[in-house]
Amino acid sequence: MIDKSTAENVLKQACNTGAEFAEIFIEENIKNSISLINGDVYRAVSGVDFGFGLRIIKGEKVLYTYTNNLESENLIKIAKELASAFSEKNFDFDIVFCEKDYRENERTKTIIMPNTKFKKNIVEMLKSASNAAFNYNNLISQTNMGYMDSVQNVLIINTNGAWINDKRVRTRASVNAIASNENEKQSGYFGPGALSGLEFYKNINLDEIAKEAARSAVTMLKAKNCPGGKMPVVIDNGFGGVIFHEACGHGLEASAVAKNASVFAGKIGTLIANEKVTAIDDGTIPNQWGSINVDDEGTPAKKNILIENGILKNYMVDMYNGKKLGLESTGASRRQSYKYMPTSRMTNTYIAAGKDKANDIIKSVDYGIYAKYMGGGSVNPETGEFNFAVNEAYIIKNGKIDEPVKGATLIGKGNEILMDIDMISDNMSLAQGMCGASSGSIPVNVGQPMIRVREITVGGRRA
Amino acid sequence: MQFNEIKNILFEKALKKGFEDCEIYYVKGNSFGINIYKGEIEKYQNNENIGLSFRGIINGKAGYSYTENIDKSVFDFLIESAISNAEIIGNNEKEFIYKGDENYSKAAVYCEDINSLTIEDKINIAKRMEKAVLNYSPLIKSSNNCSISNGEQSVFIANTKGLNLSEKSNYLIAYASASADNKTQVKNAGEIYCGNLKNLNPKKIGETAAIKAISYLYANSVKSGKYNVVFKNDAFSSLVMPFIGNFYAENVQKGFSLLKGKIGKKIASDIITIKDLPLLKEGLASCSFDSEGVSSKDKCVIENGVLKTYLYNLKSANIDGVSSTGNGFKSGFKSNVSTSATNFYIKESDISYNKLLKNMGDGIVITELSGLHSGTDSISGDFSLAAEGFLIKDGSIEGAIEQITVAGNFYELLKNIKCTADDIYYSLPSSNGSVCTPSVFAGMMDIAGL
Repeated sequence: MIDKSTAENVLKQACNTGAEFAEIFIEENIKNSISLINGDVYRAVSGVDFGFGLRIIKGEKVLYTYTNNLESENLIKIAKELASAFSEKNFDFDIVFCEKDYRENERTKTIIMPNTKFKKNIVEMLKSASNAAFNYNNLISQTNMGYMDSVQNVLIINTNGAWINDKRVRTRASVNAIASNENEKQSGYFGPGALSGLEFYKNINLDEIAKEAARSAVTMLKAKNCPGGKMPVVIDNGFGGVIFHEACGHGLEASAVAKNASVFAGKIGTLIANEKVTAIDDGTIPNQWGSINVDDEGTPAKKNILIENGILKNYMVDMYNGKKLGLESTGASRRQSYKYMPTSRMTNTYIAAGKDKANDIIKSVDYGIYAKYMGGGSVNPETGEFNFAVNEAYIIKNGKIDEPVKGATLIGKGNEILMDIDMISDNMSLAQGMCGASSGSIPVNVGQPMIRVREITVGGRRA
Repeated sequence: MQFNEIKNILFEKALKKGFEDCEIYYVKGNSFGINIYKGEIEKYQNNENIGLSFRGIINGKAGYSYTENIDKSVFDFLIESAISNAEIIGNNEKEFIYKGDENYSKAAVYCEDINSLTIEDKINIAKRMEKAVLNYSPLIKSSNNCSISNGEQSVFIANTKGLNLSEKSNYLIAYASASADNKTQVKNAGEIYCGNLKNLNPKKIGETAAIKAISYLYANSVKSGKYNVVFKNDAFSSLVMPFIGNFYAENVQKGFSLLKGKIGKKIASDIITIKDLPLLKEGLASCSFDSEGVSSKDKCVIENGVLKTYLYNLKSANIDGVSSTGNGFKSGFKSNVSTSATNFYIKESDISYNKLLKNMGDGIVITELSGLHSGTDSISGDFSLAAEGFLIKDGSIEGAIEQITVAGNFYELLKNIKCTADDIYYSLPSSNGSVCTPSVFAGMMDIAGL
C-alpha cells in the first residue's frame, strides 16, 4: 500500500513543524451488498473504498487530512500542507519500524472468504428466508432482506515505529418482515452479523430468524397502544443491552470524559451503578461482530472491565484522550474509515450475567412493561439523557406477561437508570448493531441478561 | 486520470463485455474544517476526495459498482462486478440510462463569497462564536464544539446515450454548542448556520446557542396526558424527515407506503400545502438535475390537503406510465439510484411564531426531539420520541420541560394540524433532501412524563 521510505518521509514532513506524533492509516475495503424486496433482488452494489488518512498531534491539537490519491508526491505534498498549520521547530528523530501482522490471527480467522461466485447462493438463502416469513402468516405483506460483506485491509504506521497490518472480514444479513391490515403496518427485524467469512451462515438459520421477525410483526399488528408514564420495566437479553450502550456506554468513552462532557467524568472508584451491575467492553471475543484484532491506532483489543459490582473501574480509552486523562489506551480507538479520525468507541459491550432467574424477574412485577425486543436509541452523554425504542413489548400484570403493546419508548438519565437496575438474570447474550458517533458508523455488539429496572419513564400513546 | 480518459476506457471495455448502455457518475471534492476549544485550535481538517461509480444495462438489467481508487487496474473489477450484480437483479427492476433533457434550469448551488475566506478568517469566526457562548452568562459552563467547515464538490454524469452533465456546488457551515449548568442540572444546545458568507454572524450563532442552553435549565417533567402541542420549526423538520419516503413512488409501488391509492384524496388538513422545490434559491438541497440526469422542476406534492403526486425516478415513472419528477437520486456515488426529495417545502402562513403560541393558549411547545432513527416507524407512521421544550400558559412560556415523550402518528398529525407560522427553517440536507418548514400547531398529542 505504501513503501517504507515514503511512509517515513511523510511522517517526518508531518512532524517538521513541531508535532510530537504522526500516524498514517491506509485502507482498502472491498464491499458487496444485496437487497431484496418480497424475494426479488432490487439492489446489488460492489465497490472499493480506498484512501489514506494522516493524523498529526501536538499537545491537545489534532490535524487530519485524507485523500484517495496515494501517489508519493501527493502524500508528501498534503503532509507538508497539513503540517503548516503548526509553526514550531522540528526535533530531529529517527523512526525504526516494528512490523506486526494480524491478518492471520487465530481469533478472527476466516474460513470462507466472500467471493463473487457465492452471490447466487446468497440470493437463494435470502429468498428462502423471505418465503419463510411469507409462509408464517398471511398477514405478512412484504419482506425486505439484505446482505453485506466487507473485507477491509488496513495498514497503520506511526512515529512510534508501529507498522501494523490487519484484515477485517465482516458479513451481516438483515431480515425484515412486515405485517399489514387495512390501515396499519408493523415490522419485525433482525440483523445477525459476525467478524467472519461466509461460514457464519452455516451456524445460523436465516429461515427461523425470518419466521421470528414475522411472528413479531404479526404480534405488534394486533397490539394496542402502549400506556405512558413511570413504571417498572423488564428488558430481555441480547439486543436489550442497547440500554447499557446508550444510557452508560457512550458516557464512558474517553472522548466525552476528557472534556468533562460526561456524567461519569471523575467517577472512577465510586459507586455509579447498582451493586448487582458488572459491565464489560471486550473486543477479544472470537469472531464477534464488534470484535477487533487491533484498534484503528494499532493497539491490540482487550477485555476491559468498565463497572464491577457497581463501582466504576475504567473508561474506553484511545491514545489521544488517554494522554489527556493519564490513562492507558484500552484498544478501543475506532473509526468507520480513513475519512475519520479515530476516537474511543465501544466493541462488544455488555452487562455480565447475574444470579436472578428470568421467571422470578417477571413474577416480581405487579404492573409494568416487558420489553422483549429493543430497537435503537440515542444519548446526550453530557446530560446523560437517553431514549430508545421497544420493538416488541407486553404489559406485565400480577407477575404474568399479559397483552402485547406497541409504540413504547423508554427515556431516562444514564446515571439514574444504572442505580435502578435491581435484578439481573443469568442468561447473557449478545446482539449486533451499528453505532454512529464522531468517528463514523462502526459495528458493535450490545448484550445483557434479562434485567429489571425499578422505574423508568415509558413513552406511549395511552395516558 | 482525467474524467474523459476514464470515460473512454471504461465505456469501450463495457460495451465489449456486452453492456447495452452504460454511465459513469464521478465526484471530486474537497473539504476543510476547524474546531476551536478554549480559544485554541483543537481539530483541523483538510481533505480531498474522489469517487467513481459505474452503471450499465446488460440483458435489460442494471449492474452497479464503484471505486475510490481511480486506477486502470480497478476497471476490470468495476465491469466484472457490475455484470455479476446485474445477473442477480430481479426481472421486474427495469432501469434506464437517460439521454438528457433539452433544457436545464440552473439552480443556485455555488456561493462565490465563501471562497474569499482565508484559513485565518475561519479560525477567527470559530473563536468569535466560542467567545460569544462563553461570555454570554455565568451559567454557561463550556462550549464543547465550535466549528466551521466548508467544501466544494463537482459531480459529472456521462453515458453512452450522449448525456454529459456537470455541476459544482459548495457549502459553508458554522456550528456552536453551549452547555449551561445551574449546579442542579446540566443542559446543552447547539446552533447551526448553513449558507453564504454575507449572512454569517458568529456572535449571534454563539449567543443563540447559549440562550437555548440556559432556557432549558430548571426543567421538570409533566404529568402524562393529552396536551396541545406546537412543534418549533427545526423540531418539526426532524420529525417530518423519516416519513418523506412515504411520498416516493417506488415505496408506494413496493407496498411500503400507506399513501397507495391516495392521489387526489385528502390526506392532510386544508392548510397544508407541500412542494418539492429543487430550484429554491434559499434551499440547501437544490440542484439543476438529479443523479439520472433528469432536469429539476418544482412540483406540488400536497395542495390544500390533497395529495397531488408521488416523487418519481425514471424506473418508478415507467411503472406508473408517467414522467420522472426529477427525483432519481443516489445518496452518494456508492449507492444505486433510488428516490429523494430535494427542498421539501411546507407552506408557511403569515402569522408569527408568538402568535401561533397565542393561538394555542395552554399547551407544550416542543423544541428538541431525539431518537428519530429508532422511535419512528416510517411505514406505519407511528412515532414515540424523547422531547424537550416549554410549558405554555396563555401563549407565554411558563418553564422548561425535560424527560417527556411525544407519541402519535404522522398521517393523523397531517390531518390534525391547526395552523402554521411564518418562520421557515431550512434543515441540513440528508439522503431524503432538506425539510423546509415553519413551526406548526399540531393539536392534541399524547405526552408521557411523570
